[in-house]
Parts: sequence; structure tokens; C-alpha cells
Amino acid sequence: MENYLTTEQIQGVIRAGFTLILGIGIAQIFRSLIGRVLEPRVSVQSALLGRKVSYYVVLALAVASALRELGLDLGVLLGAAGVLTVAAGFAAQTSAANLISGLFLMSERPFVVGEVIEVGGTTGEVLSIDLLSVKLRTFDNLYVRVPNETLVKAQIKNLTRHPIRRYDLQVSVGYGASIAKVRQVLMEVAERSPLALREPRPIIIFQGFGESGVNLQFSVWAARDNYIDLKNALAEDVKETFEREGIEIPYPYRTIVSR
Amino acid sequence: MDDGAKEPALPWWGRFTLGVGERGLWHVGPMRLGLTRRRQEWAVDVLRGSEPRDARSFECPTTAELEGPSVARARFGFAETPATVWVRPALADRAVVVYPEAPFHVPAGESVTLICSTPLWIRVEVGEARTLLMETPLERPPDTWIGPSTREGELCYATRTAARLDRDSVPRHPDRALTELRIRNGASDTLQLERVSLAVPYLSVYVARDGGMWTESVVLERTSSETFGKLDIGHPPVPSEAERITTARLSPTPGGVFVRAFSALFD
Repeated sequence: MENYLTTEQIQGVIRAGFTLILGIGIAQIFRSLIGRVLEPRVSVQSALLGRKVSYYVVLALAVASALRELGLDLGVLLGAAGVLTVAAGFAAQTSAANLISGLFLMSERPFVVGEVIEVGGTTGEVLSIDLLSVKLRTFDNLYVRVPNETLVKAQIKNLTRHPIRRYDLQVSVGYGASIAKVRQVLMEVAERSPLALREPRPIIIFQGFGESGVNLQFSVWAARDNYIDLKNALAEDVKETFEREGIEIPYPYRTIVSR
Repeated sequence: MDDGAKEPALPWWGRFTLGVGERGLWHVGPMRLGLTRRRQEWAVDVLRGSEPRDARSFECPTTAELEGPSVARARFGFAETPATVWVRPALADRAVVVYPEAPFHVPAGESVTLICSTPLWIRVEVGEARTLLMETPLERPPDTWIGPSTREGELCYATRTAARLDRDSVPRHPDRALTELRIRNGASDTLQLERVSLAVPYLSVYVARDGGMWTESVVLERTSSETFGKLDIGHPPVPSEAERITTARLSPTPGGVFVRAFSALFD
């Protein structure tokens, strides 16, 4: 054993270990401090990023100091790291693409932590935007990791960016119904609902003559937080009112002529 | 709805005392409210859509009970419940956009005074520290949006007004507060009044001798064809003898609130 390790080397290892532990402790304190300073002043996402960057910078300094204590020459190490980076770059193209995509996402800010987005058929609340991926929590409480590269290429719908939203209810009414009466009934339904915004006004758009009836789009605005409640209440009220007023909601049927 | 403006109303608001196990019942407008005090809990029952809709009565204490599947109950736990309870009307927690039922125009150089009404909330507080138990609209007003686009603006409540000009002809509904809106059109063109945003969180509730609820008067002065030059909220209510029973939710900061209210006043 004494052939390999001298007392100085053992002391170096102890000092390196101590430096590393101290560095981790300082990095954690620094991360916490940066978080406290940034959180009241900047967005959640920026504060999260600031915390991570500060933690890893301090940690990197601690590791560098620990390596010096072990007697390793950092210049040689960095040179080797350069060569390794090229090799690792080929091996980790996907990660690099995700990393660059992550930087684009952070600068473009199509969404921030806490907003609800829809991407590739998945809808969820953004939990964090990291260098390689974005983490979502879906409404059925699943944890979904979406690579940044996918997000940069995909179409993203941000469902909570604007304070109000429009709900489009597709309604079909039988050919026997008066469209003027249907319009009046639908407007009364919107008028009755406290969640339906008075302005922008609800609108009814003629969509065409369908196979079984006249197709209409009933568009009503609601506050973002009331969107789901309005969606449910409106459909229920429309159906009940149509039944009460004798307006038929048709289902597909065929007339067969026998010769 | 009644027009019983001259009939003195019972003061259903104010400070009440309930012993342990006792209950009080209020019927204000279309809402019934039940408050029950137990040794370690206050129970608040709410029943909406009650008839008659112009009721303004209370029994405190009472043996009557608020029952039925539509009653919504909330319970509040205490180490020992305080005996005093405050029941008071309050104005809406967001601005209220008032839409005249028929188009209303103010020609150039004219001034007019309109009486608008806005929905009231009911606030229940207990103890001398006035711990808030519940605050809810007597009847939930519909939402609306006011602003330059669907991206920028403010979520408000909406209400319709007959825009009456005669103060005495305005019905005193128990679930609404009246505001006198004085408009002076100093511009060279006619003002078409389609909607008015009243920043009611900055107004207080007053009660007149006839039981009518009032707020401070609001003065709007239009000096150019595009904007209003002056908006002033802090005038006392028109019935000068009216007594303030609930203070405003928000205190206006110099310049700030008036400018914001001003910019969102007319679309």
C-alpha cells in the first residue's frame, strides 16, 4: 500500500473529499439564496433556471478545486475534455439537439411553468422546462417527459396564455326547426348562464346543410378558469331547452325507397 | 320586484349575538342565509333562488331551520366560537360593467345624471376581530370582458340598467346598490353610451332612511371626442343623510385607480 500512496497523497484525498463536501454544501446554500432573491422578482421558470445554473457553477468550481487537491493538472484535463467532447458529441447528437432546442424554448417562451399546453395529443400543466426536456403533469395525473427537440418541431397549443377562451359547441337541428327560433333559444341559453361572457358576445355561425339537419356553431366566451364548467353547463342547458321547445336534435337516418 | 321606495326597511345588517346552539336566519333578495353557532363551530347555510326575491327580513335567534337538498353548508372550526356575528352588504369584488337596456345618447355640451344599480354581496364575519367566514353574491351576476382585445383587458361582472334619470322612480331592490352617475359631455360630438365600467371595489355601501342601498356618486367628464378627461369616484352619495355601513374594499391610490378605471371606461 505504501508503494502507491504516500502520506501527502492520503492528505490530498482527504482534502479533496472535504473540498467536495464543502462545495456541495455551499452550492446548496447558494441555490437556496439565489432562489429567494429571484423568486419575487422574475418568473418561476427564470428563478428555476437561476437556481440550477448557480448550483452547477458552484459545484463545478468545487470539483475543480478537489481535482487540484488530488494533484491533477486541470489544463491537461480540459484538453482531454476537448477531445472527448468531439467524441461524445457524435455519440450524443440527440442530447445536443435537445439541449439547443431547450435554449430556443427558453428564449422564445411559448409557455412558462404553470401554464397548460397541448402537444402531440398530450395536454398537461408544465411542471418544469429543463435543458433536455419539458415535464408535464396531465389531468389524469400522469408524469410526461417531452424532449425539447420534439417541442421545437411540434405545434404547441397554449391553453392558458390568454385570460378568456371561446367554446365552440357544434349543434345540429332538424330541418323542421325554424333557424330564427333556434338562434333565439341559443342566445337565451347564453344569457341565462352567469359563466358566459356578455362581451365578446356569443355568436351563432351557420355551418351548412348536413345529411340529417342544419349544422350550426354556437360560440360562447368564458373566463379561462370557468371554461370546463361552461362547456358542461352549456351542453346540458342546450339539450334541455331544445327538448322543451320541441327542437329536434337529429341523428343520422336514411330513407330507403323500395321499388 | 317591488317599487316600495318609501317603506322603511328592517336593518338586516349589523352586529348580532348568538348563544351556543342558537341560530339566525336571513332572507335578503333571492338568497336565504342561516348561521348556527355551536361551541366549536360556526355553520353557514346558503340557499339561492328563494322567493320572494324582494325579501329583506331576518330572525335572530330563531328555531326555524334552513333545509333542503339545495342548501349549501360550510363549517368553520374554532377553539371556542365568538358570540358576535356581523352580517353586512358589500359591493362586487370586481368592476361592474353596466349596459343600458336601450341606447342612451348625451348630445354635445349636455350633462345628465343617471341612476345605475349594481349587484350586492353579503359578508359574514365573527368576533370582535371580524374574522371573515364567508362572502358571496346575493345573486351571481354574469361575467363580461372589457378591454381593447381578447388578450388584454379586465374580467368584470355585467349588469343591465334602465338608466333612470329620476331618483325617486328607481326601485330599491334589496340585492342591489344604487350609484348616481353624473355625465358631462364637453366634447363637440354626441356621446353614445353603450357601457359604463364602474370600479365598485373602490366604492362603499351606504344605506338611506328608506332602506335603499347607495354608493358614492361617480362623475364622468368628457372633454374631447375620443376620451374622458376626468373621472372622479369620491363624491358622497346623493341621499345626504345616508349612513355608511360597509367601507370600500380598495383604497384608491393617487392617479392609479382613476387612470385605470378611466382607460377601461368606454370601449
